[in-house]
Amino acid sequence: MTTSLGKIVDKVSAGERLSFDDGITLFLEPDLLAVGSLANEVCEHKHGDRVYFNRNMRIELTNVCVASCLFCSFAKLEAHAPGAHTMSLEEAWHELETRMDDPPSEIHIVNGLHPGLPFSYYEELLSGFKRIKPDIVMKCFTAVEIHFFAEHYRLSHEEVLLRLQKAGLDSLPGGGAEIFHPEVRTRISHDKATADQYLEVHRTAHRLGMRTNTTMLYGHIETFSHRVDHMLRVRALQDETNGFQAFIPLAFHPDGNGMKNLPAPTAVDDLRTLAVSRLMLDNVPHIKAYWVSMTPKIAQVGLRFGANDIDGTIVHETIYHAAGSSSPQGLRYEELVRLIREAGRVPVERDTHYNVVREWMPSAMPEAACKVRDRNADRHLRVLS
Amino acid sequence: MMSELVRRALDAAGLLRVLTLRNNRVELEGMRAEVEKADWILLGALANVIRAVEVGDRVRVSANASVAVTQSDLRGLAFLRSISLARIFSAPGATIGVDFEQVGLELAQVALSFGANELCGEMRNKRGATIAEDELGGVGRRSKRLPLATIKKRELTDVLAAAGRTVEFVEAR
Repeated sequence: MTTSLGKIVDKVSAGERLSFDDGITLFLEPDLLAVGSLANEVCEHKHGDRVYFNRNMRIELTNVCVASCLFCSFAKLEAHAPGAHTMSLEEAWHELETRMDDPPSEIHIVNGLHPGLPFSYYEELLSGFKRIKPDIVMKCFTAVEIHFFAEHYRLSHEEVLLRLQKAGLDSLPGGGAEIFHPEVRTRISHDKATADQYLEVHRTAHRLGMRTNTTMLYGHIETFSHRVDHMLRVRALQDETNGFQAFIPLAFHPDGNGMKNLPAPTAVDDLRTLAVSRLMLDNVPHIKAYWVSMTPKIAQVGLRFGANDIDGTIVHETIYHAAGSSSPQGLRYEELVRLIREAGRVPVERDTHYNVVREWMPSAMPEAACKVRDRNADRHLRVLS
Repeated sequence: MMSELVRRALDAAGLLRVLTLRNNRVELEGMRAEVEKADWILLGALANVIRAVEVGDRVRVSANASVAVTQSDLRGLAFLRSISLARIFSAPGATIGVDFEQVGLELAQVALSFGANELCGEMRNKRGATIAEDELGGVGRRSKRLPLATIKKRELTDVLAAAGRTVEFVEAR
């Protein structure tokens, strides 16, 4: 190891970019809070006290999937397998129609790679949502899905994206990145888009004017080297296109999938991975503490470990819950505001493209509120000498 | 061992003095208002240094909930802050315990970096029932059918190891 935390602190203070070795050092550093506070400093320098969230709604239309990823508890390989389901277009649109009294600003759709649907299903899906609510932002289909569409319907990435864009696609979610390094990727998800193909889809989307997100699934068979390598590949594409808005580390959950014998990553790993992401990805503006993967409580702590976004209301998540997530399936708007405020931050409701919808006043001082709660808590604390 | 980064941050916030006042309760209490103003991560770092020096890296795990219990409706950060303050203002060598049944094992693990050194709570199976002494875990042909308590203890040991700590299971007191 050629670097130390002290040297990393100096580099960060000087605004220098961190190296692969620096990333490894940060993962191995025993002082968790030192890494966390450094990431927090960088995050506050970029975003001050502001933490973003949005009113979004997740829909998973089908769990029929030709890929057999080891970490997935959601997919059913055959259309007629027990538990397999595919929504009709009317059922999908109905999800939004029933929420028009308090509508989301974004619909986030992720699906299995279904081999039996026509491409027009996806085009009509998007245009139908836009008919119901013309200003809704459609953040749909991971790069893995886009690549599957290209192969399955014999189109190029660009043709797929242009046709979907014409039908109403606004942005791509970050899913499907898993771990880019082939040593891991070929073992956990050998039969879907490679790292290069995933990145090529995002490169094309960025060229067509879309802003997208990206992710990293950590805490299974990968090593710290694989995680840092993954971050550096994201950073390299971002240097080229500047099209990524957010990086979202996703914790592996083991229930009911091909890696069920592995333990899930612990909270300390979740927090450290957020912090290292913030420090390594100096060119990605937003680091998201995805509360579904790390529970709302740990996501809240993550807001002081380098994260400046906590995702949104979500409403009904099924992919992580199939893998044993203990988080609720959705959070109410007010609950998100409270989580952020209690972290000493200012909640900012955003749209998909990080335009401000509503900025909450910092006047209800959360630190002060916390102190009152601390005093109350002290009464419940007994310390044994 | 305190990293240079933490030392600098504590020094800048005027909190290094707390470390020299650990045996001087009166003067330490006199600093309370100043300490309570500090950012939560600094309090955590300070509490963690005190914990490492005074009680070391060993974490006691007890099924008996007779150690410190924290109000369960505290969210993540407020809870961690209260653990840090408890460590900073407790007598030297005090045991600061966290009930992982109340706050969840995830937050309990993080609390170990904010000054806590004991976990308490019943070990339960996935359905939430207390594990019986003779209950066996593991399914499938190759399963060794170990007692479930042993499996849970291993899980807990791994969680603590991931936080850089060693574990000592103690019987109910």
